[in-house]
Amino acid sequence: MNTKGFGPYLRGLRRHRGLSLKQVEREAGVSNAYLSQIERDLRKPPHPDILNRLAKVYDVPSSDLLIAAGYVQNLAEKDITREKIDQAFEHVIHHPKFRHGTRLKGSALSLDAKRFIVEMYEKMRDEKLL
Amino acid sequence: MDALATTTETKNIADFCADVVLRHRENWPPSEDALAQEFVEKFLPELPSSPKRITEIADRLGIKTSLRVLPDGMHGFNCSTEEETVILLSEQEAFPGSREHTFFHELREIMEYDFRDQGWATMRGSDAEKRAEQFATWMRMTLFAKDFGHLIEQAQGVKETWKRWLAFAGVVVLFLGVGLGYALLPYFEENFPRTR
Repeated sequence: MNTKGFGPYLRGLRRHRGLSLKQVEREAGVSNAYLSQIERDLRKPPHPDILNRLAKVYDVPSSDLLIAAGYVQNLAEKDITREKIDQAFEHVIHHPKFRHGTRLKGSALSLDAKRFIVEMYEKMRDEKLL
Repeated sequence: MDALATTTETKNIADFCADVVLRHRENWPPSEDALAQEFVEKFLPELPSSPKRITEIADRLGIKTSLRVLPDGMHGFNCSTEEETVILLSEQEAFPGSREHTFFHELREIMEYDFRDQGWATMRGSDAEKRAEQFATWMRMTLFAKDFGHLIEQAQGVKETWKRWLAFAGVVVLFLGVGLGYALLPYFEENFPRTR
């Protein structure tokens, strides 16, 4: 389980929401000193219960924090074939009620990017494709 | 200008796009700089502070935004369903301003959905990315120009003549430097590796 970089990731989420450590302490009930140590990678990622509370404050899915903390296996690590991803992606891009776009470096979508888009579709439409 | 354009109350992106169509349908599509200026006038008459700018603008537009670890090469992503619109920005960016640029790029793509719904698409094929990039650059330039106006006012307030001219020169150099930085950002992103 590799959780190096979890601290800076968590700090990035907090700063993106424009919150101070004390504000997070108030909203999530997590000590600001403890949070500060986690953000500096001085402590291990916290218990999933705490991650769930932080996810609400940072307005991100709990699964994102659980994956980043190493508690849950990333879907990307599962063995999903290229063919299955391409099929699912075709379904997604032709769905009239799911509109999406992306800013890419270069112009071609990688398989990882296609899988990511399919996973976002699954999450937002609550529909399983992979 | 079409009379209807001044009577429609702009509440969200779809309304804004409808207004743009009314104003520019005789000369379609509008340029990206005109679009950026009109967007700023409608939604950002007073400037949100820089550190929170993205989240504040997103909140005003009813768009959810958050930072994520995105697949390699992906700066940002937007998606919409009947219920919600989401913009995700890469947590890993090497250049300052990349996230803001990407946010405006994604915003332009979301606007395009509404233009298409109304039968007035502005983007076709490979032109789409180019126009979204131009819009993002113009949005940042337009917002900076508002800051620039305040700096000019401050420079005008300097009493000693030579110091006032020095202040003007400084502001102009800053404007050119920042403008060049905004315009070249996509080039730097494309040609230099992304690091944390």
